[in-house]
Amino acid sequence: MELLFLFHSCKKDDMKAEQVKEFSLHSVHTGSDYAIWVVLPKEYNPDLAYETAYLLDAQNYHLRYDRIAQITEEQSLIYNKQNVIVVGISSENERERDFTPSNTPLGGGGSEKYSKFLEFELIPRIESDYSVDTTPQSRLIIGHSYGGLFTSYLFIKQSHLFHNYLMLSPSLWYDNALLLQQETDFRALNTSIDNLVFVGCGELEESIVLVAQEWDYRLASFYPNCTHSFYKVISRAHLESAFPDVEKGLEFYFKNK
Amino acid sequence: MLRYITLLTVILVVSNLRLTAQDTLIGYQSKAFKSLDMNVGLGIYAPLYSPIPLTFVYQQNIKSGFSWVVFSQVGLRFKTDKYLNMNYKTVNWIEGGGIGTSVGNTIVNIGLHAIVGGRFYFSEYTAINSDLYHKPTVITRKLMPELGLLLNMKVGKKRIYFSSQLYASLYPFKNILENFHNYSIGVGYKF
Repeated sequence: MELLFLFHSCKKDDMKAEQVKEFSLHSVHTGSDYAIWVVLPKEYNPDLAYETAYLLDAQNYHLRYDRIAQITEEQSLIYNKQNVIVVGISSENERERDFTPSNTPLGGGGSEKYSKFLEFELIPRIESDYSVDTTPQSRLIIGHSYGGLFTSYLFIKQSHLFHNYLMLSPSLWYDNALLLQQETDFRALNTSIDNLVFVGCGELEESIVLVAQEWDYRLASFYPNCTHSFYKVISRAHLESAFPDVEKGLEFYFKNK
Repeated sequence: MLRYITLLTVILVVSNLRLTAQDTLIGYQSKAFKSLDMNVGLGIYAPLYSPIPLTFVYQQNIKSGFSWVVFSQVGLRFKTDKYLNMNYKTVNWIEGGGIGTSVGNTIVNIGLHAIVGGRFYFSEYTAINSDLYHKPTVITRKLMPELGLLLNMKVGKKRIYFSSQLYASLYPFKNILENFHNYSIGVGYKF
């Protein structure tokens, strides 16, 4: 255990403090303030245009921005591709409101406003402050649980914003599987899109497996131009599958982008 | 649920007090001590969503203060979840053995045992609005290793005594807090 701890500490030390920029951003659309962490690649060169990975719940240990940035660094080296700028967004206070598509006892139905926050406030800020490729093709969004629900919302309703998706344990059961119902309504508008989509979950979170495998089935059946992958982390439940899933998802992303 | 647990606790404590009128038997720390505990409880991590475990522990002392145990736990859960909009049933069965130590006197005994064994897990989840799904049911069957710590408290001088157990499941090692830890109460019987 101590060896594992030391190994993890060494990995964290590899990240230089100047790689991480932190600021707070107020959103007019949601009315909330969000802590934002921007992790630049190790050899960040302002003359190059970087792709971006937007990470939801970035304050959460399972998806912490520095752990995710460590994986993007490793995967970019393995696949000999340019690393991405990781943009971590805190969701500490308003998660249930921002990530859900409808107002129920379990959530506030703020997905539309939150997508406006991303589109009109956060993404423009990142693209003005850093050397970033500004096309949707260069953007990846990573979300787990309700965050995965929100990434599914973006795919279905706001597909012009992001080209690449890691949907981890998406809570697509939300509100009587509202997004699965709405997917059929929006399908005709989206069938020609050629996105990269990774759907992941834990084997022991069966309610999520049920909706995630349905989502994967629909991706395979109705979105022929999308490159997609479905992965179940063996013997893992909801939270404990998040990190192995994001590792697998980023491997898929760097391999196929 | 809390009401039923409180009621069960009261019944068990009262029955234990009545049973203390029986003859005094062998002490917990004696080399010849053997017992069987039967407890029922609740999960700790997410009590509302956890199966209710029924636990059996057979304990036999090796020498004063040291013993081996056979640990069996079955957790069942049947539910229609209005939020998930799914019906589900799960069975979580742990079978293991362990050794450990205990401290105490003739009235109270607290034991700590390391448990090693296996876990069988079965679940079936079915969507209620099945028209939305091409496969509306997910069935999972898993056989997994089990590693745990059992803290066992026995109170009472007589043949039947009050028993309470805290079981911490240590496998998988990652994110141990999310494992199915549980606390249960019940009665034990001295052979």
